[in-house]
Amino acid sequence: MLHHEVIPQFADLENRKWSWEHFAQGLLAFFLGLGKKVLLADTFAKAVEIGFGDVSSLGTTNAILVMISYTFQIYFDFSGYCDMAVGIGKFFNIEIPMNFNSPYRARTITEFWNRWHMTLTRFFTTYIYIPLGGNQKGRWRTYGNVLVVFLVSGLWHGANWTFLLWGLFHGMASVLTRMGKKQIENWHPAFSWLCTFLFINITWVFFRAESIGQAMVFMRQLLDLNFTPVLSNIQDAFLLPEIRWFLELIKMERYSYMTWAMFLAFGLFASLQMRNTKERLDTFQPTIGRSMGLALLAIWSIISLSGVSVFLYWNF
Amino acid sequence: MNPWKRFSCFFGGMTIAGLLLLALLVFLVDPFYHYHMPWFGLKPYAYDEIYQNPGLAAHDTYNAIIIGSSMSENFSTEWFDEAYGVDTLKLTYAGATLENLRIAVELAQENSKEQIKYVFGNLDVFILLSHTYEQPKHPLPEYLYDSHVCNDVKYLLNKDVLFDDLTLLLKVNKSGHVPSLAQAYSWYGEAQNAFSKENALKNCSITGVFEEVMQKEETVEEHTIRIVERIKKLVTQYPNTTFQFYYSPFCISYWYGRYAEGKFLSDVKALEYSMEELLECENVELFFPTNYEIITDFDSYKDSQHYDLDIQYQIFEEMRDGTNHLTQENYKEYIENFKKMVLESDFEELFMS
Repeated sequence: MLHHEVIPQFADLENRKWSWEHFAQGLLAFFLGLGKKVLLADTFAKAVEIGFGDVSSLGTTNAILVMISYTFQIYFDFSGYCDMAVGIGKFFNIEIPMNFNSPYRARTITEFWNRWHMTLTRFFTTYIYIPLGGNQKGRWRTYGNVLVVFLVSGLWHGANWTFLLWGLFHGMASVLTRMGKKQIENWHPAFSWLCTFLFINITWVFFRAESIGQAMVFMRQLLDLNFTPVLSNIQDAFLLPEIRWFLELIKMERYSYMTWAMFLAFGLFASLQMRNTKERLDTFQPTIGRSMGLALLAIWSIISLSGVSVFLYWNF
Repeated sequence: MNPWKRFSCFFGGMTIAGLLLLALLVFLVDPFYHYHMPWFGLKPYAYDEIYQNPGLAAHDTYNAIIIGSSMSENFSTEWFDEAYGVDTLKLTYAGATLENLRIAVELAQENSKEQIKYVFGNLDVFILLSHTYEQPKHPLPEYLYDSHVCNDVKYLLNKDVLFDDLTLLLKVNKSGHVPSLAQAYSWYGEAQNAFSKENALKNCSITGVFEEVMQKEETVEEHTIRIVERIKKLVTQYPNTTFQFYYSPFCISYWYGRYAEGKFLSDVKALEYSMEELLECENVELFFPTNYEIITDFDSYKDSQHYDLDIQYQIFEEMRDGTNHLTQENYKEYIENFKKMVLESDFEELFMS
């Protein structure tokens, strides 16, 4: 966040008054964020953990599943935390700037970076891109500046070649998008979205991998066209105890192996079609029904914070 | 009322009431027996050592315990109850390290309403050679092992407990077939079809020729000395309790594997050292139920270490009858015989036939 975005709010005496409206909005943002984190991100994380734990035996089906899972994990995790921060800010009448604006709806990489981790993008624009001359010193210099910003962004995420490579990929894609802006604008929106989403997915693999070597093994598995069934431990990762209990209750336990598909479908729907937290807050009307729904989400999220670890000691 | 205020208050009330209700449900059913043994006529069902041992130790009635690893999990507590005239509780941990043994003994000594008369359990090279002896094999949920009430929230508001453990306890009770606590943590039933020569030799690279392998020096490792020291400290802390330990009769394929790695003689040295030291303690009794017939009966093993229920019962009988009971006078002879037994075996004949 930039200084001018927050500090004046602390100085504003009006913000020190209690506001039920902001408190209620804060509750909504906070618990939506907590739900995203513990119910969605943490579930996707389990599958990702399994997948990246043994990359060499994934096969194409599981590699695709793990790759998309990580795409959703990182989004729901990070945006969940940001929503919680927005919620806590609201409790104290402080407006925390929006950080994610449904980034997976983006149709180009440039648009993605206008929607993803917006505060960081603004920070780099203000403190790196503009001081380097921004787009004021000619076309090629602009491309160079964009590349520098993305390489720094890669390094900002961690001192590993994987992050640098991830930054380089995004930098190059941003430059190419700028170069071919007119042609890309003529693409069918669905095709444009698909290309962008695919690119984001693939580059997240490099971001998540422990080394470039591991990322390359992952990519080989992905492109191997070896469509094996979904690994049972990945299936289990998505079979939350409450879902299993519910499926048993409605006598549909035979579908329990399909919960991974349900999560993926919901992840896609939530990130593309559902209104994001900012949009919800803008039109939020306090009703008893919504209050009840939020309370259920809060209870579900809170009881999901603790778990029982299962240790499969194969040798007993 | 201001609609925003009404929304917030209703949300707060609903959330708190919902959480309290769920916590109350866990408290009443208490699948880990953290607060009480089952109420409402439910029978206890023990299937998760890590999570249930502290609760059982705190609320069951007993004056003897079984500790150790999977090598002791198939013991029925009833065997000991009848033979020793005690009330036994099983507090084993799969893959147990020294720390697991210590925790089990402490749980019992600190919680049992009666004086602990006996501790039964296995003492293996895995326990004696582990470098991570200061840690339990798997992390333990602190909230069940400490006495702080505040962190109980992790148990009371825990969706795995609610949807898995609580429902399992109710379901098993509803079915009417609740395995008795005497069989707690027993894996024999699940592994019944896994006992075979093929499995006993599975992880053992057998060339068919028993070549002479240079063995590591016969010295006792520093950490083994510390482990034995701590076992001695633990047993001397409770002079009124008799500790009966046995050395598990691993399959000969296990010892062949150790020989092939050049570690057999140093392993045996660790066993010998532990015997020498522990036999100095008045309240320790050691048993060495390893004989050629047992350890070459491949069809009684599911891998190179885990034996079946018959061998488990035989171990119990030897402990009960004082067979293969080690003393300061005879333990060296047992060790020598064991070394000879392994080194002079015809492996080609044993493995290939």
